[in-house]
Amino acid sequence: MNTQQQVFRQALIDMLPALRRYCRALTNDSHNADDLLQASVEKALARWQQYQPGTHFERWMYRLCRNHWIDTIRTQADNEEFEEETMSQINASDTEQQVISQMALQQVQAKISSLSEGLRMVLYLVAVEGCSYQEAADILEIPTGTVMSRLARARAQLIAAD
Amino acid sequence: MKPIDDTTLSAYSDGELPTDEAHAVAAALATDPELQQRLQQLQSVDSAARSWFTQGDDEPLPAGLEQLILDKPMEPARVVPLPRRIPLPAWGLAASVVLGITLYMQQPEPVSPQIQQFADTARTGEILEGDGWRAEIASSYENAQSERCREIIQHTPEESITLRACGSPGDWHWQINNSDNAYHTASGPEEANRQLLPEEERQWLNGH
Repeated sequence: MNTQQQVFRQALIDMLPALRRYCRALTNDSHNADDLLQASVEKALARWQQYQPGTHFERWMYRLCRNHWIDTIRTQADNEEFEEETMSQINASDTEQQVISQMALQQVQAKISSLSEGLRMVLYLVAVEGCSYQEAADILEIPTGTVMSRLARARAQLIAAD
Repeated sequence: MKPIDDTTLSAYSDGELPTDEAHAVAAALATDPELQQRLQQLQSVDSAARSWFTQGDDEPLPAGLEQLILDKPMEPARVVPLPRRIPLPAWGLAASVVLGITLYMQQPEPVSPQIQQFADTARTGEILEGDGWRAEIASSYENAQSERCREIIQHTPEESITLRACGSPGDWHWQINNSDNAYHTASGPEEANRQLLPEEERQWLNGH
């Protein structure tokens, strides 16, 4: 077997747990996440030549995966969550009245699933994967300033009153 | 100093503020209990997020996925058509130079607006599908004259064409080479002095 292909296949296998977590964050649904994972793997194998050795494999995979998800959503004509202007707005003055000690962890977690995709993904990449703002911006193909503002909105939304 | 909002506080928490701004926030935090409380609130979200996003990590991966990765046939390593080779003429070097110039004949607007726009914005590896053709950004590089260029391969059922755009997004000069049956691996064009890193390419295309 071709060595380059072997290296690519192994990198893909090694990344499966993280990629599945990313798919779950993206889809907000474990069933859709597994479908997306499978489709992303197949697409990566079909397009492996587009990956430039020496560059960040994970970021390449995350972009491929997200682009596929966006295509899927567009096909289903159900993409409101991808539009920045449709994202739920945070009323900062309201959120400032809240005290986190009064909130149960479960309440915060329940709210995560209700975050829009744009907010959820920056929170995931920075808080869970430990990405820098620049890395998250590269993966999501958005400006760094947008990462910064979305992240603050995600955090504020999660500690906001119901 | 302007009020410290959630965006600034959140970026401070992540260590993403410039040094002088971070110092200003730290100074404000030292004297403002409400600001301290707000910072703690914002930080508390992350542990909940980590717990929520990783809750399915222990579940087994979909059956057969690893085997699919190991078994699925893959295309061979990418090949890029070489420029057409001209046999060295017996009548001297000067004539071959003339032929070489002809080979790399520059054309002012030789490509479609679609391709031009593709060269302006697409990252390496991206593909554009047209009516009966398909184009791919093969690389971004700096040539020996320190000029930044992009190599685009355009495939039709009949042939593959190598397009080289040098200059800057929106202001390219183009070179076109038709392919023949000779191939080389995709290590970039021969004139490439240095391949651009992905981040360099991104900033270049974004006009930074």
